[in-house]
Amino acid sequence: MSAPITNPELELVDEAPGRPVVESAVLGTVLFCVVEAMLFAGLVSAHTIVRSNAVEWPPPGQPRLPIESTLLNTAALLLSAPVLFYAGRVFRRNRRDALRPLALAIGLGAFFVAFQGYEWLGLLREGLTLTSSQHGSFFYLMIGMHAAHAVAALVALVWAWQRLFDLRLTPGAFGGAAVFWYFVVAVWPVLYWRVYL
Amino acid sequence: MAESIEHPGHAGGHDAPHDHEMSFWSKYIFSTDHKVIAMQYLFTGMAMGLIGGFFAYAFRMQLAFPGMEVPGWGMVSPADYNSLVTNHGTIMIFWVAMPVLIAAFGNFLIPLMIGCDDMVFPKINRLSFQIFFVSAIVLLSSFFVPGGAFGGAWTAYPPLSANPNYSLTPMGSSIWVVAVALEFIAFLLGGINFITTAMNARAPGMKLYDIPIVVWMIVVASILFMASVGPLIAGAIMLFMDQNIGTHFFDPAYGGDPILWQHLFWFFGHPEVYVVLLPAMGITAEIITVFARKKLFAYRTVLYTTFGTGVLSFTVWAHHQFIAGIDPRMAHVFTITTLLISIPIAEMCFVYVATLYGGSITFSTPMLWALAFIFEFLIGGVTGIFLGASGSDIYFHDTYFVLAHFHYTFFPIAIIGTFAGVTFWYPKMFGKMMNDTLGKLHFWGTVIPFNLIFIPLFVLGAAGQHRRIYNYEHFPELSAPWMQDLRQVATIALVVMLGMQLVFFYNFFASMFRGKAAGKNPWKSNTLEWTADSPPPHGNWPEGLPNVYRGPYEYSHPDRDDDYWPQNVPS
Amino acid sequence: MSRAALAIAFALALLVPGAAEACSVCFSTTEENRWAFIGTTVFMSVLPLGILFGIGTWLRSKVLEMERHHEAARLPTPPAP
Ligand SMILES: [Cu+2]
Repeated sequence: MSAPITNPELELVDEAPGRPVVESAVLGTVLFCVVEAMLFAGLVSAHTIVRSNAVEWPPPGQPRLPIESTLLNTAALLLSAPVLFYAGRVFRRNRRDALRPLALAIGLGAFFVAFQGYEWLGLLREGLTLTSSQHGSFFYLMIGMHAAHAVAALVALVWAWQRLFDLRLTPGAFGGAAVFWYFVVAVWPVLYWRVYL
Repeated sequence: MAESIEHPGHAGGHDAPHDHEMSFWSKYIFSTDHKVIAMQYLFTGMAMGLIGGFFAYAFRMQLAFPGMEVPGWGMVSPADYNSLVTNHGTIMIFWVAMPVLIAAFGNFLIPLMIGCDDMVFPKINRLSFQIFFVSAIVLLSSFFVPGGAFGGAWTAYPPLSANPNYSLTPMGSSIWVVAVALEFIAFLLGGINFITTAMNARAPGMKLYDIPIVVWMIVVASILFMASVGPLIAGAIMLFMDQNIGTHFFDPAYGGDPILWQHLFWFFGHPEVYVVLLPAMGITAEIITVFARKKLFAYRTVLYTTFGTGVLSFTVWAHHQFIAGIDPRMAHVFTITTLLISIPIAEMCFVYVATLYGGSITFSTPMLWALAFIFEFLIGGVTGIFLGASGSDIYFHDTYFVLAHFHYTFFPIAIIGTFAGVTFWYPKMFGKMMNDTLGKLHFWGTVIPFNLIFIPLFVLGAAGQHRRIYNYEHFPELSAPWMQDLRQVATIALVVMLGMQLVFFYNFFASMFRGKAAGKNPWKSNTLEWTADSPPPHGNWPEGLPNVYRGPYEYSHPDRDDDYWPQNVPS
Repeated sequence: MSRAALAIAFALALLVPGAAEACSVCFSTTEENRWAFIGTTVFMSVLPLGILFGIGTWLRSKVLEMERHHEAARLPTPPAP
């Protein structure tokens, strides 16, 4: 059963005329992720080029990034993806049962964002700011951009959880929110490799 | 918003279910109907086109008659000149070519041509136009801030654009970046809609190879846009931070890299040419098949060529940096890819000529525009070869030869292609026919002056006339009398061409009221939009959506009495 | 020499004029920076094509599957012309 894909304000046709190849919400989100993937590709390339110009990287006098603790954080983020995938499989069998794994995935994601924020506070105290060096500029730009995407994807997942709780969540909407979260997870290792290491 | 204040009864209420009487606001301003949104884009684009044309008039007058009091503008100061050329380019590409070719035709044609009642995300579609409209206002507002509008050329190269001490437009340059970023977001939302709709909402029976070429090309153009705009959004954020927060991404004094911006910009900027070219190519394909009464020659070849163009368009961008100090090894590779990309485009032109060959051609106004598009774009393409080869580009770089070249590509795309589409689908848009005599007068009055503007500029460019010079009197070797004469020829031709647009606007608006009724299918065309009423009502086919039985180009089929065979007719 | 060998030799010869700078003042300072530009150029060229190729293949398979299963059932076959 597919949700009506055409204009819901119209009541002209009885059956939905379109035959979705893929759920529209999923396809729309995938296309949006293409733009975002290229956005991050642009940032990573810019970072690579400016870094290659530098005599010393990270610049002298700037704090080191917390490589180890972020590795732990990375693990939490990566774990959220299979949990969300599991939630999706449960959702297809029995909708209500997906509430729990979905909440767990949201929790792992929220932990990631909160821990990142905590580390930022430490780095700011140590003197790494947006304007302190190219290192700081790129760190806050790229990691901040990722954090913004993570927050947006979390909002989408919480919205999906709420809809699921009310038993109004469509497979398309769930799929769209999940695809966006997978994207956030998939980009992170690349950023970790380029920015932290 | 001001609209809601005037109509308190509808404040925020346009999502509520309406019964019978839809107010003006909910019907024309806050509608989610794809045709209304298409018209909003079309009219906004045309209004911006007038502004961009006026800017061109003002700075061309300054070049032809330096120091003259330009009627309608006044004295053009050097700062005025810079912001006029900058915003002429910005407006014509981002606020005219994009909204009209992609958004207006995409919105109008995609649901009608694939046989569905609306876009799959109608509210996102409405949001797309609203953001676009705001972006236009933001851009124009930069003319009224202290320091004036941004004047660092539409490519906004840093450090000029990043540092207000150089650009002298502290607010104008930031507003420019914000406006462009908003505009990208608008088209991003639109692009998602176009691609998803074309995939998911096709009429029963419409297979992938039954989709009209223009829909395919708009979809491929949207894909190109979506896949190339990301790096420029990243660059725009970085530029904005450089301007306002104090980062130094593009500042070499602090370890930044100004060439980096050129890469981020042109990574989008070159595919952008194909983003606007493909819809115009598609419009041309529809028109020449209808008016040659012939099947499109090699439908699948055109389609694969379109994909090939898309693939190649991602690998050519650094031909804009040949003299910016890129590695000569890279310059070689980009020379080769740039010359390669002329092959698919040339192939499309051959296909169109093959379609015309042996057809029974009617020289109606849309057909004239379509033929002119092929002819003029060909000149643009051929002159591009000199610029794509890194060796000759070292000489031609930043001369008027470059300028004339890309006007020979963008003018056919954005102006000739648009007029072809508007005159062709006008009966469907408004239910009336346009006046053919006035249409032809406007056609010749536009195309002849267009060539008279830019052929002199090719000559001047080949003679070494540099771009971005406010007054050539300061350069004795560039102000020889014959050169100044050519500048005046170009400017006078521009004034004539702009004046001829009055004929179009008269024809456009007068025909809405006085044109003769068009009927459903005045051109005897095959595609689905011609089976709906003219203009199509909300929902396009209230009596039921069409089925599709064949491809879109079955003209002059030997076994049929009629010389056309609509896609929805069973036999 | 075979044609392929000729083509490869020609392509390699193109890499020789590494020092022929078009602009005498604006060259990048370090070899590392040159390779960063070349590397990111390759990356940025290949990435969108890879993504689009992947999505295109996925959609194409979905479309073909749908056309096989649903199309014949939904439309009466048009009589042969
Ligand atoms: Cu280009």
